[in-house]
Amino acid sequence: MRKILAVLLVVSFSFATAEITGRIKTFASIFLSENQSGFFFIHDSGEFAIKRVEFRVKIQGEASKKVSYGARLDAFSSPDAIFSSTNFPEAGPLASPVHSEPFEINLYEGYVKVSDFLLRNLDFTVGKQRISWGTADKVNVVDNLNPVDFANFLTFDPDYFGERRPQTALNFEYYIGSNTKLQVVWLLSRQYSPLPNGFTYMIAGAGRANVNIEQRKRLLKNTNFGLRASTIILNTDFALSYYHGNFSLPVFSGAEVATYFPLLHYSYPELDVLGGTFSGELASVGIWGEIAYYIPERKKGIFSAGMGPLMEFDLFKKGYFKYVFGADYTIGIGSGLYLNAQFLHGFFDERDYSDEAEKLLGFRKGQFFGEIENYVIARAEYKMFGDNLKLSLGGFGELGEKTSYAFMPSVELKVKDSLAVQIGTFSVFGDRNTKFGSFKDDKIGFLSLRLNF
Amino acid sequence: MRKIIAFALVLSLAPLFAADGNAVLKKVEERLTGNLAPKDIHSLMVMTIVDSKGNKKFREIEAWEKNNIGKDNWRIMKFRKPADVKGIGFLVLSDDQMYLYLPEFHRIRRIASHSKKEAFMGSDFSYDDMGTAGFVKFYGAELLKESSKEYVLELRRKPRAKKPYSKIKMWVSKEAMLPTKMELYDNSGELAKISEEELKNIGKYWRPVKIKMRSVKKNTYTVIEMKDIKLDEGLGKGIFTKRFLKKR
Repeated sequence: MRKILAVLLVVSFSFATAEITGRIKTFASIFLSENQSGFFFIHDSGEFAIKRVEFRVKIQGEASKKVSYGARLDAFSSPDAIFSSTNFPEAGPLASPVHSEPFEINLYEGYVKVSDFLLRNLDFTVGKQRISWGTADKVNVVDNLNPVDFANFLTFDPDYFGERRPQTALNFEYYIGSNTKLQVVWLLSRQYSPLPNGFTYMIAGAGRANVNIEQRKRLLKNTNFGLRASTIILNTDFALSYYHGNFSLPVFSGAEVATYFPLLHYSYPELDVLGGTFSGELASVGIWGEIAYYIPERKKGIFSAGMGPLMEFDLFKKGYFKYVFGADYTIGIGSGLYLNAQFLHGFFDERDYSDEAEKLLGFRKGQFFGEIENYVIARAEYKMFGDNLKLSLGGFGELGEKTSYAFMPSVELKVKDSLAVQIGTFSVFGDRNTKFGSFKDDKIGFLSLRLNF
Repeated sequence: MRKIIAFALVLSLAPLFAADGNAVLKKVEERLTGNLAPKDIHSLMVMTIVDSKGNKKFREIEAWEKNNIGKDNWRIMKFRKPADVKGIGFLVLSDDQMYLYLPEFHRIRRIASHSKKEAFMGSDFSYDDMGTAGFVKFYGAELLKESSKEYVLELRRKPRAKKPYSKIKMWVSKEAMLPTKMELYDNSGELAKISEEELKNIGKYWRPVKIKMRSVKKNTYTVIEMKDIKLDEGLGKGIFTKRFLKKR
């Protein structure tokens, strides 16, 4: 009995020292243009939607000097972020006929960390956790342990651009001296990017095709892992990494259109990625870069049409590079005008397909899940009145034979330390036959409210 | 002839004054980051940011500092309050090696030295003000005035020194041999900020326990009060690492 009481005392004490923080957020957007023939959205000018209402609570604490824990629980509703029909109307009573307000609860992360686990300088973290690799801003090409969260991608909420989902993992970090770290991560399952509601319906051509998603059994050989070594040389941070796992976004890997009801094949093939990163500075200018060599498994694609034979072909080229280089600088005007620019070769969803796959399955540049393209991503930020007002102008250019440009100006006001209001727009210009140019007639204004506690 | 002699005398004395200024600055530096400074400091900093209308914002920061004599001192700061910045950490290992920890993304980000111009978390202190201490490496000093209680120095930025202030007028307490007030001039030579430091004798050291930084043009100010100051605790190297930066 005494032992039980002692354990209860320890547990209650450790939770008594836990800290609870969180936030409440709403995100609403309005269409500033009309689009009656869009691929993703059909809307009038002035249609608006509440895209997300979110309550987040985070608990962190220490059970002992060497054992700490953390958990974050997200509860959210996304009333209008739903696809329906062949297009994705955002507002309107038919958008979500089953639920008046879909609601989800998600254990975003939950982990226990043990410092000096078995060995001195060895940290071990177990549980659902975010393991951040890479030095670039948001568009990390070496960061494959945590899949990109695409569930909110089409809401254009800046908080969710490039957001990654924590994964259940065993994470060992061994520190050698002050500057060097070796890391081994074992992920207990495959990684899959969350996709927007209605995505399967969309790829099935609004129910006009059957979709076969290739699944793999939960076997030890089908789990993922990563290795990373990082150090500082000549005042520059360097890291080398290796990832073995799978594409976290679905790959269109075959089509059988011989019958009236076509069958479309999707899969999540295996993937190995060799990565290298650096970050440092040159003449006070911050510089960083990531280069990754993607080696997909030799996955066969299939295609048949009409009465023709079933054709098999290599889906990918043997290996291909993705990279990103960036720089930032603060101009000494007022409290400092911050400038940040990156050159990206290969967006999250892009791959280098074989010539046959391009020809038969229609992969090209300038489409989602298509061929690799180049991008320039830039932003300028200026804070005023003691950081209470932040003016931002973000944007990116999709560079290829056809180009498009997106601009995302925003103003964020901190009403109080804990309460921020942000308004902004997302507008695309350029050729509509590009990935982002397809949103040319979907100009959006947004309002976001965040309360931290 | 007299004028020429007087002029020659002034010219010959000028280097002496300059040398005096540098000597005083060197003594100040010894108490800031040298042999006579604490080997390490661990404190809780309460930051009060006051805007031009008198509205106040508070920040609570736990700070550790290690004095590496003859080299850059190390500093690590972790925000404890309020909720919107809680958990953010800042590690300074040298003038051009700084890291920021963003707990929301579990990410440590290298910060280049250009960011030293930026305001530190919305305060009147810049990242440079909060970074490595020390003046001798970056400034030459001239003694402007001396009284029974204090020296007044004028510090001029050395060529190629990467510091935001072109000139500093510094009042140094003779008792503590530490600055009690500084006027900080920007690149155009205009008065940008004024800092006032309240000193206290703690054990065998004099330390600033309250610093008020006033932005002259914006008419705003920030006060940092050091609480729970612990000196010479024997802080290990392991505290000034990215590993510790990620800890709660």
